Amino acid sequence: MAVVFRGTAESLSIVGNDATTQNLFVIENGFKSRVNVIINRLTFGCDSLVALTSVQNIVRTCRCTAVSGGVTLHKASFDTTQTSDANVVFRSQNNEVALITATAGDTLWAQLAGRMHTAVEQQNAERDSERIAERNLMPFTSSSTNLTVRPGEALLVKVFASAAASNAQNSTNYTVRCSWAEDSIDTFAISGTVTLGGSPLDGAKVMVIEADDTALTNAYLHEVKTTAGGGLWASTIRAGKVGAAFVQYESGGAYYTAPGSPYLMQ
Amino acid sequence: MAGFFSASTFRQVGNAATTQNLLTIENIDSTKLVWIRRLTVQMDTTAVLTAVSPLFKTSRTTGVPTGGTTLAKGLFDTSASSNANTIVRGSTASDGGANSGPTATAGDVVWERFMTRIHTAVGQVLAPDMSMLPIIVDTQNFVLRQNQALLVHIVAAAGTSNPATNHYVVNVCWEED
Repeated sequence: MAVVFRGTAESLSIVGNDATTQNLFVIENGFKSRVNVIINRLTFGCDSLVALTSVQNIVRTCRCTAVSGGVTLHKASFDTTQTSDANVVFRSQNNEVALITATAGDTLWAQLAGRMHTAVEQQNAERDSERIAERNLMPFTSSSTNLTVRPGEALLVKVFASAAASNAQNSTNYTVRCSWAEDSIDTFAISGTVTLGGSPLDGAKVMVIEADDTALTNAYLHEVKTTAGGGLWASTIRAGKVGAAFVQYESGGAYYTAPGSPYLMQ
Repeated sequence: MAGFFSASTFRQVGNAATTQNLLTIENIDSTKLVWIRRLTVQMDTTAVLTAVSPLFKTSRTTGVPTGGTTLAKGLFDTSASSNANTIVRGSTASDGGANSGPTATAGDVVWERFMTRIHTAVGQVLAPDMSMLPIIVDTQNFVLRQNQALLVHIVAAAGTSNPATNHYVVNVCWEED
């Protein structure tokens, strides 16, 4: 299909949580989404404020499920004429105020976070990870290794420490940032004409439902269309999905409804 | 099924020996190819080492690796599934856990490099990605054919140069035919 949005999102500055694991950042593509999310860059920074003489923490990128919590991040666009799909959501932990809950799956990449053996001299909390292969949370490649988050999927950036003391609160600060593209998903068109008493009817509401399959898995209200131009309405359904539509209309206190065609499929 | 995949070892500690196998990736499929796109090692070391650093090598193997811990394979796109005949092995099943292989015989060396050491234990310690194959494999195919494998391993001047206070993480990204 076509890239319809490119953007960036950045976490808050997140302090350690005095635990051996910590969820930092989530990239979530909601199941209603009409785009695939292609991750272009995913990196992090780590500033250590106190010495750590034991092994440094690992930051891992994993696929994940059951995401909730955190704070929703702003999505900055490369081109302000483009709009990100509302179902593409980036979450950051906001310290103890808003924790992210997620179930980590298979690891995609891992990166040691850095440490100060003694607290002296310069701390390179941020090297330019866009230029050097450091603090990457996905492979640093130029080939088309599209790391794809499809509708209903999510990625998690998570800290793993060998001991809680290695991830002490107010001793470590993390930031995570992501650059991504949204690739539109193929759709097919559905349309119709609403009539009342045999005549085309404008102003009727057509509710368009979309689901994964004929068992109506993940069914949701895609949109509500108002008929116009002679009772006409039109919408789209994602390729491979199943659509349904039905009508509601109110006039002078009288209520009407009409069923749609069963299982609108490509 | 064609697509891109990745795997990452758990944190592996030095084995206090002059050689240590860190990761293998093998292709035992008779019809499908595996192309390595990125292979990196990161290292942390918490003890001073004033002798020469361990040398990290990527070698083709003679024979197919065995043993170790078979690592989970991450999917770059869930519409593609990795071939079961592509197998990635590490040496431990948990961060800092006991090493148990993998067993492999190193053949021709493909790439090698030093990582890092701390001559005195002061200041910052970073663990950047160290490429274990030339970066050109990103776009030029480095191929594993049937029953071929790559081994990432350590060759240290002395066992004391590879102590348990060394920590290694290996990442690999590949494409399947």
